Amino acid sequence: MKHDFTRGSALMGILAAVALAAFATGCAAPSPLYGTWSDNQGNKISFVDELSYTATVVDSSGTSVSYSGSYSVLLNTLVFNKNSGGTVVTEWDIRGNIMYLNWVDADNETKALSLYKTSN
Amino acid sequence: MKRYFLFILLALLSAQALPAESADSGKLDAKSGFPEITDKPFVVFNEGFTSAWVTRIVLQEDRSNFVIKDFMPGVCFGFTTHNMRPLNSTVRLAVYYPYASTFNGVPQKAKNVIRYAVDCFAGPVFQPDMWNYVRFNLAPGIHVLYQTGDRFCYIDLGAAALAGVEFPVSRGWTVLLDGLFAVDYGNLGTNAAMEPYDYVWEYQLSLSVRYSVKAPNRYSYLRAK
Repeated sequence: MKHDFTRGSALMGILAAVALAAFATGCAAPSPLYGTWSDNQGNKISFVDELSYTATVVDSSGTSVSYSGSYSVLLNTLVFNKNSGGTVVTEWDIRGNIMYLNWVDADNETKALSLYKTSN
Repeated sequence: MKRYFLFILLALLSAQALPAESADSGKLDAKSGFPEITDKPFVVFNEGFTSAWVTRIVLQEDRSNFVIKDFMPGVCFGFTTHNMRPLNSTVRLAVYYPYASTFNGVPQKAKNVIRYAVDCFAGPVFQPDMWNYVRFNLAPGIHVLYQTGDRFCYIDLGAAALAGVEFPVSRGWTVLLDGLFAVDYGNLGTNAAMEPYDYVWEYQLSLSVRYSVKAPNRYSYLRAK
């Protein structure tokens, strides 16, 4: 009987370890925002990691302006904190491979962007 | 598809509520006047680890739907009756920690530290008598979930189905692998006014063990000496 118990508990130990590993990795999927999003007008946003982004957005006068800083996502709200000062608050939406968001430049002009994901 | 349906139907029809164990002796009880029950009903317990994946969806127009997913590991405890007529029942309780949450795939950091969830499932259990070394449990039932999330206290109530596999390891020990799928109504909690959900469902996977002296395994991988 002792023999049975030892083998049985060893098997249960292995099964428990597998279950724990499954629990720990159960929801480990990267954010769908990661990567580079761009369009044909020269607008581009790269979400580098969980904290930082770089962006190039063409403003109303037609000049490309580069931004970088940190970002955060709370539900459907996306907040870009610019290193140059100021923030952009927008709703984000990914449908298929296209991200829809609004960018606000230094002159407070809102620009609706439809960006295609071009690299992971 | 038709074949699968037939298989499930056959499995359900061949399910027996342990008829051999629940036979009456035919004698009348001197005190009550009812037939004497020789095989007394009893319960067997199982306990183990579980994890649940809850999906809540708010349908949207002209944009992608709001899909909120929670991953909750936890511990579970259950019991199943034996010798009950006409059917045996099973009850499963689980306590979770909502470990990870995503909104449309983007991880959401929680501000509230004290979060937990409690889950209960109850229903009649059907045990198709198919194989000796792997046994099946099928249980349709009701499901209720209480979850303290970061923003709301959710109360979900709905229907669930449990499909379980039992591996008789030794005479007393059994390993249970249970899957549960629940479709719930998710607007009984504090989210009802601000964020009513159109669809709520939950998957669960649990691995638990049972040790029972009263209901020993007639067939097991390890033989008792």
